[in-house]
Amino acid sequence: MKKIKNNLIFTERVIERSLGKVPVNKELINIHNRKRGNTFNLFLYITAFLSVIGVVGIILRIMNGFDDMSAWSYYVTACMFIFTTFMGAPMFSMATKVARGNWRRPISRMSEIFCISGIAGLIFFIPILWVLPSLEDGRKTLWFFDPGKVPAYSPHIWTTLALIGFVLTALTLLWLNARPDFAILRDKSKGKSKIYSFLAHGWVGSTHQWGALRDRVSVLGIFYFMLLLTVLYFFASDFLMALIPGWVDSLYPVTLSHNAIQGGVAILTIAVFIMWKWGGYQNFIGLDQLWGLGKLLFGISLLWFWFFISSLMVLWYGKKPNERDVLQLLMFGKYLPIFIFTFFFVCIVPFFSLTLDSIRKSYYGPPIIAISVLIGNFLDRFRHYGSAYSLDRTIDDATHRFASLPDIVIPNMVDLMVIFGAVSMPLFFILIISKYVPVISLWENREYLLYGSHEKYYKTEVLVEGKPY
Amino acid sequence: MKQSKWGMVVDLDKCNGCQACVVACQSENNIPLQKKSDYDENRVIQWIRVERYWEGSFPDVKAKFIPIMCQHCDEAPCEPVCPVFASYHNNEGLNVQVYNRCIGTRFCANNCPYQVRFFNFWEAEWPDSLKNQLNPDVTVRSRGIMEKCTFCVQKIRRTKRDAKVNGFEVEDGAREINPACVNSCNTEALIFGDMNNPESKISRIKAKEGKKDGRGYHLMEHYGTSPNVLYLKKIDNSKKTKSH
Amino acid sequence: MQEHQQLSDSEITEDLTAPVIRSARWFWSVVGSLGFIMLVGISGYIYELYSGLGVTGVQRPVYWGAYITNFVFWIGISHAGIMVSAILRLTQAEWKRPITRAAEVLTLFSLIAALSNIMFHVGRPWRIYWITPLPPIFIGFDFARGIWPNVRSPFVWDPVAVGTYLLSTILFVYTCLIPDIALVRDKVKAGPAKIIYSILALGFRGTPRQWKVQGTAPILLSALVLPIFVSVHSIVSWDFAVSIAVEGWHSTIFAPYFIIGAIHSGVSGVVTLMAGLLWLYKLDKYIKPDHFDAIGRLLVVVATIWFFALFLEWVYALYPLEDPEIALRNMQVSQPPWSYLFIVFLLTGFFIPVGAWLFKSVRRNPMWMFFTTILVNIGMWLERFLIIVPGLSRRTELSFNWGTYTPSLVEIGLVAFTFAFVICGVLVFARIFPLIPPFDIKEGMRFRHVIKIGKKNISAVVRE
Repeated sequence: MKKIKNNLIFTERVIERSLGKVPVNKELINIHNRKRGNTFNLFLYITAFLSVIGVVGIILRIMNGFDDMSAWSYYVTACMFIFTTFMGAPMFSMATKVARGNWRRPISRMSEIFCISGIAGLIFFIPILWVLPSLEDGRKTLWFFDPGKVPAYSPHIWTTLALIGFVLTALTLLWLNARPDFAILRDKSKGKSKIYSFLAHGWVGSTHQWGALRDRVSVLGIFYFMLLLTVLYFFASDFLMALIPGWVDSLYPVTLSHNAIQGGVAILTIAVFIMWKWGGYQNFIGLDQLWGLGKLLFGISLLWFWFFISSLMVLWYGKKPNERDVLQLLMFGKYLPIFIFTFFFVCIVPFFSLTLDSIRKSYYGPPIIAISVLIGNFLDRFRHYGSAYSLDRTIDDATHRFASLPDIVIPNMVDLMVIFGAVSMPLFFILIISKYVPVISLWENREYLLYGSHEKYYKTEVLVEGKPY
Repeated sequence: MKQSKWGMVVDLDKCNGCQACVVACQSENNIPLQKKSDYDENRVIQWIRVERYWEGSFPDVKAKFIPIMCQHCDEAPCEPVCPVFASYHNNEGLNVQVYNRCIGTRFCANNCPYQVRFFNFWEAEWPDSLKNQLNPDVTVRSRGIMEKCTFCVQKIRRTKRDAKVNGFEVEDGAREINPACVNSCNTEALIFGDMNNPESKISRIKAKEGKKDGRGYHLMEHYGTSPNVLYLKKIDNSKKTKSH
Repeated sequence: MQEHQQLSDSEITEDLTAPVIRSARWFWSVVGSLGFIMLVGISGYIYELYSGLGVTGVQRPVYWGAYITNFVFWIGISHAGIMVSAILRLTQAEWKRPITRAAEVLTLFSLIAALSNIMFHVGRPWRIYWITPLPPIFIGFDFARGIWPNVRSPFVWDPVAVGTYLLSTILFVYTCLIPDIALVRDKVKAGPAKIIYSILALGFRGTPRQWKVQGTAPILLSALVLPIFVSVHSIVSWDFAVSIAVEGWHSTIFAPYFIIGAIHSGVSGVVTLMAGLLWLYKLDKYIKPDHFDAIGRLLVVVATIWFFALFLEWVYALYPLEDPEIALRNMQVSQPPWSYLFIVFLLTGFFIPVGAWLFKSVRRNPMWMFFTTILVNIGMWLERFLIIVPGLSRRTELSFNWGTYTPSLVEIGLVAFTFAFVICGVLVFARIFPLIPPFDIKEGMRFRHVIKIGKKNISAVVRE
């Protein structure tokens, strides 16, 4: 059946290799070890330069002082953007491991590599701790009834702890998953073996080690998910909702987590496309992978609409004055153009374009839609964090409403430096470690050789996949 | 002539909790007789009720009375939730209940912050002797129907129709147009009138007491329901005698 | 699946059509006793119709009680069908095969039970058709002169959503049933039964084209029914969440919270049903411990997400530090009987079942799964009750109006009626049509492969 052969490029090649024609690992190792070309070095230098610009931007922003919160709008937006795109990407690997889809194997390592962006996120996060007002500032807290009875900087402390735990979990997950690959590279290469033997840390591939790997990865994967939700819960509540008086939205932490997963899938799609087109991995990344990511993006964008409508329905219907104000601030007031563009890029464009087979089941379709999702994600972050940090939190006693609604802050030079730095620094880290971490997982694809095979089935040939557990 | 907008003022300084308004409302609007079992079952129907709160401890106990009736909110939360449009807002600012349309889902009662909506759990029964006392201008509700204070809309309608037919102007504060509770209040704690008429008593009270340092306030303002009943705070003289 | 029994086609046909061909010995006694419970409930309803809603425990201010709780509960159980059937179909999970039809049938009857609860709840049920937009020129019926329902009311969105869900479930059940009706038609002796089955089978003969269409239809229906899955319970949750006046109701998380609760409750209901069917019909060859294991793991994930949503709801309810809300939560946690109900709810809804399901031996044991999932549904019924009723007791500043609620005998009787109705419905359905789809099981047998790797045999599956 022609359909099977054309779309399942990956498995066909696997079979060829399993018949001894071209060993999987050798080809992958060759691609991994080849000297990086000019384009790669160019991007490395550009991202390095922009990261330095970003750090300079951070320093300039800190020098401008912490008193004027509205000056930090774009800064906080950029930092949250890191956490809702780059740090959402590893979720793909965790979730598809649980769901046991085999199409994930070529791209799961790419999603795990995004774990390194946590370091960039942490760097950008630290100055925000001085921007956020303490509990003595009349600002509400989520945790205790009596703000006077807890340390004034509690939210800062626990968010930092959660964030450090999150980044450490992410880095550990990346290392654990890549460890067998480091061992393969250690064994197969000479010259670089000092680095790889250090990274492999005594991996020999015994049954015990494999079993331990599986257990640790599953437990840490669960922890990664829980910590992602926890960190985004703090970012949604203490760093956002507490700054907009009268905004009580119990769904928003979940919405933010969902937006992070959407951003993660989007940025992963772009990374997969780049690896397919220019990375030299055409033999390994096939239509299946981009099609699967397209389907995920479609479903997730539909869910975006559902979370948005769930919040909006409750806040809009009752016409309570404080809720009307919040909706004015975030959606219908001065931020209306930003909201319209957000809705367009993050929901309308993905949903309507990905219903078309020609876009969803193609190589170019999902990445282009993913760019739209990332733009929409940034605008969504700005809509929330920009308005929250530029809001004058005084309430008019007579009307119980906001004294004034803030205008949209125009970014200045420092803001642009920070934004470019925030987008580039994670990319820079990823490009650096991609020299050492194989971008496609060697051991997972080798594992698939054991599970999948083509069998004759009555008059046709079908793919048979083993289900060991 | 401008469309009327009916409103009420409740002066808590004058209310002594006698509940004459409750009785008057019951007679005027054919409200079912409330038996002891209704009180036990917590199903009493009182379109206007006088709530009594105790303040302080013995021997300095004070009772505070507050009569609460339907606030006829401009942004009534009970109106959007009725599936059959039994609760709607008419053009004179009244929140109107259409008895023969109501199917008794009781959603409106849940959504009312002031809890002024009542449900007929049982079929109302009047002894033969009291059947002649029923008001022919007001529907007798069967079981399964929601009801609430209407600002005696039947009296408003009748008076306006009489005025139009006989060619006289309705006076502000006229007993024919006032709801039964307003007429029965012996201390004139309840004041009713047309808020669109700047000369009416209620408009003058609103202008005076509705300001920031006046005695006027609305119940549960943070819900944003824009009620049309203005409460005037009780003047508390005891503060002058406190030693600390 | 690890333990696999390769069965022949004739064996499958024999086993799975046996309940349809002749009644099991216990059938009439079980259906009879359930019918008796239903009769008791219906007589309670006739009493309610005659006397008025006063026979319920509903009072001012708690105007919504056991009926609405039961309505939301059965809508929750109904999500079993979509979850198990549609989502597992779309993710191509092999372990769905024995349970899809049972889950869909459970959905069908629980939706009917849910809608019946609305009828019990309204004050004038003979006028309930006013919620539907009938055209003005309806001859013979009196109704309100062309006034259409209020589309801004969540009570109008409810019947639209639930009605759509009911219609799509009927379509889903019937479409996937056709090959099996044909199977029964061929096995049954000539007579009125055979004529009815022949009509219902729509002439299915098993030609390749018919099978091809039969394979595509459920996938299409599954994809189309997924928006309904999300919207039905969201809309039901908005019955409560749009209300500004009731403490504990005005929370944006209600839509996802109710849906996750529905998945939790519904999938547990499916497990109860499967364990029950396993015992009643002796289906040991078809329903394996592996199935319970897989569902058990899904339930642990779902239950944990549900618990997170419950946590968020509580935290954000207390966050504004408003007195009525604090008073409500205080009452919930410290005042009997609410505090007892709350503890029972937490234990039965989450801690005991999930704690048990963390152990593989519990997950693989049908009896343990049966009892833990019944606990879950007791907890989830209490959850709906604890969302609806304490908030309605209105712990506001107007403390003169604080109220309480106790269900009356009529309400208890009608709640029991709905449970008996659903169980009876599923059993009667199993008597008329095969509840475990023979064609699905046979397809699963054909997809079975084994891959030998060294000394190890791994079970494998054909991927289309």
